[in-house]
Amino acid sequence: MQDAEQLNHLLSLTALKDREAFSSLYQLTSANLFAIAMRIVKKESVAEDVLQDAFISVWNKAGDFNSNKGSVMAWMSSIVRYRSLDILRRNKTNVDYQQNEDEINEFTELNVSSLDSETLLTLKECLDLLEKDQRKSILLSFYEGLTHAELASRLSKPLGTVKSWIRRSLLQVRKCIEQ
Amino acid sequence: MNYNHPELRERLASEYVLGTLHGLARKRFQMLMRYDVGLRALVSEWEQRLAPVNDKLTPITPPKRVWKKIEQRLGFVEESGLTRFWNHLGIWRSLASLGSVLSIILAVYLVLFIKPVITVNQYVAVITNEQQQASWMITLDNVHPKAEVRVLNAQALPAGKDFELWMLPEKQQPVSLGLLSASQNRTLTLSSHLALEVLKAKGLAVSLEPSGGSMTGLPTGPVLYQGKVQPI
Repeated sequence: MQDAEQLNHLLSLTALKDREAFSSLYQLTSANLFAIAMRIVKKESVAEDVLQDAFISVWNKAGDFNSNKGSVMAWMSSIVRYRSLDILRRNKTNVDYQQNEDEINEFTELNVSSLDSETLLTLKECLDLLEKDQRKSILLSFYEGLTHAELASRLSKPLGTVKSWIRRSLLQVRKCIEQ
Repeated sequence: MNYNHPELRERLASEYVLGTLHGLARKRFQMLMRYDVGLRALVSEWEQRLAPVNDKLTPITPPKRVWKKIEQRLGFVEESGLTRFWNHLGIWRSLASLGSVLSIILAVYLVLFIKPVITVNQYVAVITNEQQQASWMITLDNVHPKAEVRVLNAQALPAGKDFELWMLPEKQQPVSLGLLSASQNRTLTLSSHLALEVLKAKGLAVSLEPSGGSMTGLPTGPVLYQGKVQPI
């Protein structure tokens, strides 16, 4: 992961329309952000468009970022995720579920190491307190942008069950993180 | 749905960030966020809570063309020779002439052989008070002659009074769309003509009127809330 301080600094300069800082910000973050877009929209050409749009937003809205409220990476990855979800929902045919069926188990667990950030380790601890299927639905939804109905179909569970899993799991995760 | 309920706000914010909120609910939520600082803060908190999951994705270096396109879109670099060629006026004139002929052929074909397909476009108006706090949210579309009104945070009505919703046409006097409740969601039925006019109106307003609404057909009390109809 990139140095949070460095990203903060580069984003502050980007807010002042410093092109060099913006270019460095791109160099440091684009591979992580591209992976997020790829995971959701699946097609490389679409993910490229998402990344372009996201960085245009970053350039235009860099001044809106408030470092007291969190990390630059979380802010930028949210921009990429929402753009990816917009495009995914507009054009559902882009998603090839079959291709990803084997990957479902990958989402059951988050494999962390001591090198990971403290926030990730805390999140992992909290996700581990959930039932396996609940954890899977949270991770699948976050990584792939699945809706309740899509999750129900992927996990072969009733829609109502999945909805209440999500609702309860998110509550549990928040309480756990805040403890 | 009461958007002021803390548990509901928390749930919607968390599911917006997670990605399970979709369709009209997601669009409505995005619209509400524009007016609701507290909701934006909840979303930002959830973004920070869940974002670390992304650390586990294996980075994928994007092709170099992505950065080049970003630079072009932001005007950092000169256009390439190909782009200049692409932007050459003569090419577009020729193509435009050809395009005109083709579109006439296509139009004739469509009129003769294709049945019309109606696309439903959704619209929303967030009605705010003078402090820009969202009080009602109204959703409309171009097909159904009705307006769905959700109460967000309207002030309580004084006794013997009613809130009346007005459409503000571009060059005419306000037209009443019906009475609003401060506590209950409502569906206002509109005439087909009015339903289409609302989508083109320059704005909506809510005035305080005697119980049962204005007797004159025009606002008589103070205009306390305003909003704009916007496509979503």
